[in-house]
Amino acid sequence: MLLVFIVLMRLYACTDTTPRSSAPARYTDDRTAHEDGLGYHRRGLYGDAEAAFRFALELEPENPQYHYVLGAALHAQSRYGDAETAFHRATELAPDYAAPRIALGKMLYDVRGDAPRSLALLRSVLEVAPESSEARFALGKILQREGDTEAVEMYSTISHEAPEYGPAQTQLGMCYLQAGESDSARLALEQAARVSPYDPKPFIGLSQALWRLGESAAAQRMLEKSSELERQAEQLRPHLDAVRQNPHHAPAHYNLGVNYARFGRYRQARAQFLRALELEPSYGHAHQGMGILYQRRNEEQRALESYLKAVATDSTLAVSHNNLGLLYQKRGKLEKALQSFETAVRMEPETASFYANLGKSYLDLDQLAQAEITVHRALELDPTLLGVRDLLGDVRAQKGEVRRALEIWESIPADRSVDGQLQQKIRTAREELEGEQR
Amino acid sequence: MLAIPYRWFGRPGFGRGLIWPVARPVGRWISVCLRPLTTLSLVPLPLCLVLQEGAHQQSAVRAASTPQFVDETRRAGVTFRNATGSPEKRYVIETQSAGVGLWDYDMDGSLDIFFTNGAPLEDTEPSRALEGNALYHNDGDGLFEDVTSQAGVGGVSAWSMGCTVADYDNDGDPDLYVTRWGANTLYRNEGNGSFVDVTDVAGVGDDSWGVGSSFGDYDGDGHVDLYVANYIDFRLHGPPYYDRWCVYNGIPAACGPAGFEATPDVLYHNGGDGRFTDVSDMAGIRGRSHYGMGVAWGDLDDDSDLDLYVANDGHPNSLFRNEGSGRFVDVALLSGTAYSGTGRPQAGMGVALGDYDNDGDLDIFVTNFSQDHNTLYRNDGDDIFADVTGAVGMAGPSRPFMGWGTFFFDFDNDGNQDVFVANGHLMPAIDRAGVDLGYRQRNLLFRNTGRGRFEDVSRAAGPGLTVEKVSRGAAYGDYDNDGDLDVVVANLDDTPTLLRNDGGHVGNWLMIKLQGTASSRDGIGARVRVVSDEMADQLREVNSGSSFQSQSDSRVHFGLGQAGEVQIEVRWPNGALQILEEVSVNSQLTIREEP
Repeated sequence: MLLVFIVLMRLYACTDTTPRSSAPARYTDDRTAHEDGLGYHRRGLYGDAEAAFRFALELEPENPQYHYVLGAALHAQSRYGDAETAFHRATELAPDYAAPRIALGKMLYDVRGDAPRSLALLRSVLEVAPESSEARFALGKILQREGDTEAVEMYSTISHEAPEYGPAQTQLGMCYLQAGESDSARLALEQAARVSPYDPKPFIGLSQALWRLGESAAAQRMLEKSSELERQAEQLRPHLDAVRQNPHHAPAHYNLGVNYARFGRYRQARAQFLRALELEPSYGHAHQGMGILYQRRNEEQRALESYLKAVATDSTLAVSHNNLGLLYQKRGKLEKALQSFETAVRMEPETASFYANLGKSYLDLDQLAQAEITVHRALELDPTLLGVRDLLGDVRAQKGEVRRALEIWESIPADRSVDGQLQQKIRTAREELEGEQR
Repeated sequence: MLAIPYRWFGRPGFGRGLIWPVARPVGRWISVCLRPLTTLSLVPLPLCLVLQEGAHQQSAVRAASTPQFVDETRRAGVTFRNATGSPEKRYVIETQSAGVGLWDYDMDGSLDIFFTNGAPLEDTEPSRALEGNALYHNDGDGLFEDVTSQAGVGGVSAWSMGCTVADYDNDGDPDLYVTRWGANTLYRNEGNGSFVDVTDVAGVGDDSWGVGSSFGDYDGDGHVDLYVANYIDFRLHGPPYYDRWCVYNGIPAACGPAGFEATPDVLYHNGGDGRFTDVSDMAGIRGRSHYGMGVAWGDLDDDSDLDLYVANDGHPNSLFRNEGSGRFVDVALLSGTAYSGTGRPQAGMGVALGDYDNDGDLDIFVTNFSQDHNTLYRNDGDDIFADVTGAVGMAGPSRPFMGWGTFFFDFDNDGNQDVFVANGHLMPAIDRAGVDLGYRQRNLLFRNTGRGRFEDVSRAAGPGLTVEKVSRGAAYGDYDNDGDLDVVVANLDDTPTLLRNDGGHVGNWLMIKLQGTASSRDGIGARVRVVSDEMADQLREVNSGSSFQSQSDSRVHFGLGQAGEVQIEVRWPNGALQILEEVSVNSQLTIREEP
């Protein structure tokens, strides 16, 4: 029996995500002011962002980009009139500059509902930047909200030119749905779901398309999928906020990664761990996270290296020690495995699974008394760990107490007994006992 | 009394009318009433015909201009002033109250008005002293008198939100239910101008923060049941946001609802003995709780039982389809009515049901936050709806406004249901922030062209629609009994707005009051269809509640344009049909359910 208690990741304890305003410095360099302003904006500190951009403009008053970002900061503070002025100034200074026109076009519609002006502005962007998917998407959204079927054309163009642009695929499907074209909606939304597998929207749309096509069971499944993704989004939200507020804080990225991993979103988890390591190369938790991802993919050498880096930078990482033990065990390096499990238990003496792995290690080394004590300790800490009872049976069997071992194995609930190895052990033990009786 | 020969109900291709069970082959006149309304008196038919001629003359001079709404509040003697917490609105509770009911509590034929009121909070500077709710009696000549104390519906110590009206005990007079931040109250109408608080006996004193409420007989047993939409678990001195301001788009705002626990809605079954039972769990309406606001009962799938639509703030809206066995299933997500057409949750506030396109089924209109659009869901049948807000021209014009009370009504009597929206922002600080949006906002009136489009006629519909206040509840009804629909709007920390419709009755009209016998007394849930050779058939359902925390005239009104005689078809909640032919226009009539 291979008893593996891989311990998954835990959240880093302290991540203060509260946005705090700090009075911007008096800049002497417009670029620094601009960069700082962008940082404030990302963190939701729009007043500080505005101040930084204004400093940048004092030093470089004709810079269209600075006017644009100032407009964005003003927009975020609901100062729409001032934002409009800033966006206009940016476009005056750089008539081919798409971003302020797009921002202005969106704002005019969102805030004032001024569809004609908004559409005209966005169309003018496409004249100077016909490849701008962002402008086309913004235009599509307004057309869609205004019930104009030209929206389909906009989204179709995007999905043709940029098939990985998920939101456009989704909205194309939603347009078809509202128009009663359920088959087309289904195709577009299936594509959207492929492109954006963690976005609930395409799945909701898909459920509606399937419902309209009479496939109610499939519709229900899509609805459940969307609900699950919404639940995940809800749980991820504070961690995403933390990253937004603290984009240079390695633990924030690590925590987000852990939560992605919890939902099986390993690619996203990996990106966050790598970002954490980029920010802080000696951040043990992130190495540990990478190790777990590698281990899941059976890339054992890379997992081993990551765990070694993890414990080298932070020797208290019990999970890494435990998982290192498992890797050593698999490679037959039983003494090294034992040492790793012992370290894990020393670091976290209240974790049942560490004791279970240590018990297995003692068993492998035929240290049966130690194994029994250790496995009992694991069961004390967590009596629900059914695999540990299986292990206890192994220890008894190894000690020659076959009847007792059989009793333990047979006491494991039937739903756990489907394990073929356990069933085989039970059969063998029964045969052995029957042989003794004969 | 006029016996009418049997005719198959509905017309081929008209909605799905043919599936309605036919209980009785004939309908009969109960009463045809002329101004002033005497609801149950029988009036000889010839007199009707004389007046009908007059109505035709009136129609001939119909002007092309939009009817005008005139603010009659002061002249009508309505001096009530809402007071809801502090002027700065530090807590989310202070941003709401101001429901309104337009109903004839004393059965004298003229609509009276009930206003709900907030209250001061103990640790804030109140905007006004505690006064409680108010009931104004309509003397029939355009003047109103405050009769709150005689009626006993002031509820001074409570923070009231909304109201809904129905004859829950089938004794012939309308009763009143008031939602509150705290225990809700059911007032039984004693029939002598006074009310008695029967909440405890009836068992409907849910003490969550109730917002919208509506009576509807979901199981067809002849007794109206009650649905209450609850908002959040807000305690003044409790977590999560006590003594804190939040920031919304750079503007200080009361925290919430995000961050608060949603409190579950409640469905009460009326046992017919004056007592209600909470059947929320059994009925399946208590799944995941949302921030409930507007509520409306209506037969949205045209299967002869009442379904329920709930507008939820920032959460998916709910469409509870009545399975006919006392159970409901939420089909909002699948039907396309949970989110906007782009798949986003919106901040649902008020809700209205009506057949805007005269195709024989009920469509849904939901009001939402500013910088978003109110949403019109067209009913395409088979539990399928389409967001047609933009296609009908209502998206852009609604974006700058924060919508609350709303209803479908035919204000110009042209046979097409128009839409009214009461607006007002949440954050007083918005006025000091130098932004485009205002705390006080004007209300919106959309005229239905009858060709699949709505026109924003707010600026052309009279001085009453230029009034800018912080509106919440809104109700409609013909308070002056002149054949067109007037409007009353409840405003936060302010006087209400009573809008008299001048000129709406240039088109012909009918006002119908139903009186159930086997069905509930006020016929809630009954469908009335008016068939005319000269215009599209029209559908109305008698309902209670809806809009935002408000109660509109429970009589059903039909604008009939140039139409002369019409046929009236009534489908009672138990499925029985009653047909009245050759009905004269420009009259008010009461139809009593055939026993």
